[in-house]
Amino acid sequence: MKNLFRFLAALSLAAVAFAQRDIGVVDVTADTSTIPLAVRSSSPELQNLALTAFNVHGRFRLVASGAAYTVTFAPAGPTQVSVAVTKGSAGAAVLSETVAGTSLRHALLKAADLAVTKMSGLRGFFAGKLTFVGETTGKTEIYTSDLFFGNVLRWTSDGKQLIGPHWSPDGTRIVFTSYRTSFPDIYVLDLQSRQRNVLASFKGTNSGGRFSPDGSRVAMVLSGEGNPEIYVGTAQGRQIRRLTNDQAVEASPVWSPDGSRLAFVSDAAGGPQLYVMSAHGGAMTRLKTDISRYCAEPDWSKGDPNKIVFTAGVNKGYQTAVFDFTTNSARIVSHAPTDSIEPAWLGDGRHVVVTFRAANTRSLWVLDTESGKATRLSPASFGPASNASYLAP
Amino acid sequence: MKNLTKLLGLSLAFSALLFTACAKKPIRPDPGATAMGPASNNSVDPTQVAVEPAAPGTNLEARNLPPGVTEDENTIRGLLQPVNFAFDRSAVDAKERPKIEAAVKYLKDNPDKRMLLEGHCDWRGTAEYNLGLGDRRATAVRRYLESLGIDSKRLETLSKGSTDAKQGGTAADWEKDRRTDFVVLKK
Repeated sequence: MKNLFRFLAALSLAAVAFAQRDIGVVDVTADTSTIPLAVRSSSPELQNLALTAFNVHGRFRLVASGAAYTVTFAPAGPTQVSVAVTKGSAGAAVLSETVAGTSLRHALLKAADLAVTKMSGLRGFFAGKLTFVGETTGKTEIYTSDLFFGNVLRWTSDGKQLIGPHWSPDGTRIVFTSYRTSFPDIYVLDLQSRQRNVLASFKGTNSGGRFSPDGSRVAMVLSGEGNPEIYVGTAQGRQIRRLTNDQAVEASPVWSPDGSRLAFVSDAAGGPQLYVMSAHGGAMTRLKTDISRYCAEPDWSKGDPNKIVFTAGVNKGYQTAVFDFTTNSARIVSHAPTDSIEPAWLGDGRHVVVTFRAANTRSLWVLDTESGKATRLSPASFGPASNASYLAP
Repeated sequence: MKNLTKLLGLSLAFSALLFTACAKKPIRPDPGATAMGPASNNSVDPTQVAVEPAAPGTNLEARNLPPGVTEDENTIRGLLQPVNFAFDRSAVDAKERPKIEAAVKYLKDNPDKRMLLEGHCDWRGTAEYNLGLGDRRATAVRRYLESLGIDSKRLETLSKGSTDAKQGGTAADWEKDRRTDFVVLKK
C-alpha cells in the first residue's frame, strides 16, 4: 500500500515535472532487500579485496554474525583461487570450485562473481574492466584498470582534452575523442599493438564514438555538414551515413544490445531529451522519461535490455536516472551530494558506474540503481577520475 | 512582464532560427557559378573532383588545416569581444550583434587574416551535449558573419564544449563561459 502510494505520488509528480523546471527527487522504491553475508579468507590480501568487492554490491550486506551465506576464499596457486559458499548456520555447501585468472587478484574477482551468481542469481560484474579519463599527469588521458582500481594503466600522452573512451565489445580497442590536433577528432586505440588510428577528423566536431555490439560499426556525432548529427560507419570509419537531419544538437548515440536501434540525445524539442531510432535511420521517437527538462548521456543495458540509464537535471544539479521500457517511465536512482553523471552499466542490469562531480573534483563510484547505494571506486590518491566505460568479464 | 520578456526572447530565437536557416549555404561551391555544367543539387563541382571525397555520399570534408594553426604564435586572442549566449541557447541575441559587426569590420580591414570561431559552454551540463552546444554557438556566429558578406573560406569553427570552462564560481562566471570567441588566424 505504501509502495502504491509512493508510485502514484511519483506519477503525479512526473506529470507535473515536464511542465516545470525543478522537480526535486522522484523516488520510487524498488528491490532493496539484502542478503546478509560473511566473507572469510586465510589470506588478508584476498579477504580485503573480497570485502571491497562485496561492499559495492547492493544485493549483499556484510555482517559479523547472522549471515545467510558464508563465502570462503583461499589461494590455490599463483593465479588461482578456490571459493566455497555455505548456506546458513548449518553450513550446507552450495558452491565449491577453483577458479583460474590472469593474476591472483583477477582469480579472486572471478571467484567472487561465481559466488554472487550462486547466491543471488545476478550476473557477476567484479571481474570486469574499466576504461576512463584520469589526470595523474596533470592532463586528461585514457586509462584502463580492473573495477577496483587494480592494474591501472595509462594509454595516451596527448596532453590535450580527452572525452568519452568506450570499449570495443571484445575489449581489444577503445574509441575516444581527443583534441590532440587542437580540434576534436575520433580515434581508435588498439590495445595489443598500442597503435592509434583516426576514425573521423572532418571539419567541425567529431565525437561520441561507440562500437556496435558486434564490433563491426561505430555510431558517432559529426557536425561537418553544418550541424551536430548522428552518423554510423564501419569500425574503420568507412561508409559513413547520416541518420538524423534537423536543426537540433544530437549527441551521445548508444546501441541497443541487439544492435538494431540507437538511443541518443537531441534538443529538437527545446532542451536535451532521449530519443530512439532504427540503426538504419528513419523516424526518431522520444522516450517518455518525463522527469526532467535535461536528459542526456544514455547507456543501454546489456544485462537488462529494457533499461536505459541516463543523466537527468534535478534542481540545479544532475543525478542518475533509469528509463524502463516495461513501464515506459523513468525514475531518479541516485542521491549524490554532488552531480552524479556519465553512467555506464555494469554487467548485471542493476549496477552502474558513475562520475560524482563537484567543482574541480571527479571520482568514480558504483551505484546500485535499485537501492540507491553508492560506493566509491577511485581512490582519493589517484586524483580526478571520470567518464568510465565498462567491459564485462 | 516576465512573460513578455519570455515572448520576446522566444520570437528573437525564432527569427534567429529562420535567419540561420536562410543564411545556410551549400558546403560545396555552387557548380552553376563555374563555367562548366548545369546547376543541380546533386552535381559535383568539376574543380573539386581531383580532391578525394572525405566520406562518399556525404558532404563531409577533411579538415585540412595547416599544422599548428591554433598555436599561440599563429593566433591573436582577445582582440575582439566574444559573443555571449543565454543558458542552453545558441541563438545570437540582438544585444550581441555589435560584437559580430566589429568582427566583420576587422575582417574587411584585414583581408589577409582568417577567423576561428570557438564555441564554449559553462561547466554545468554534460560533456558530449556541451560539445554539440558549443558547435552550434560557433556555427551561429559563422552564419551571421557569412550573411554579412564574409567569405566562408575565411572562417573555421571549433567547439571546446565545457572542456575549458571554469568550475565552481558564481552564475556570473558561468555566463562568461557561454560564448563564442573570435580568434584571429595568421596562417
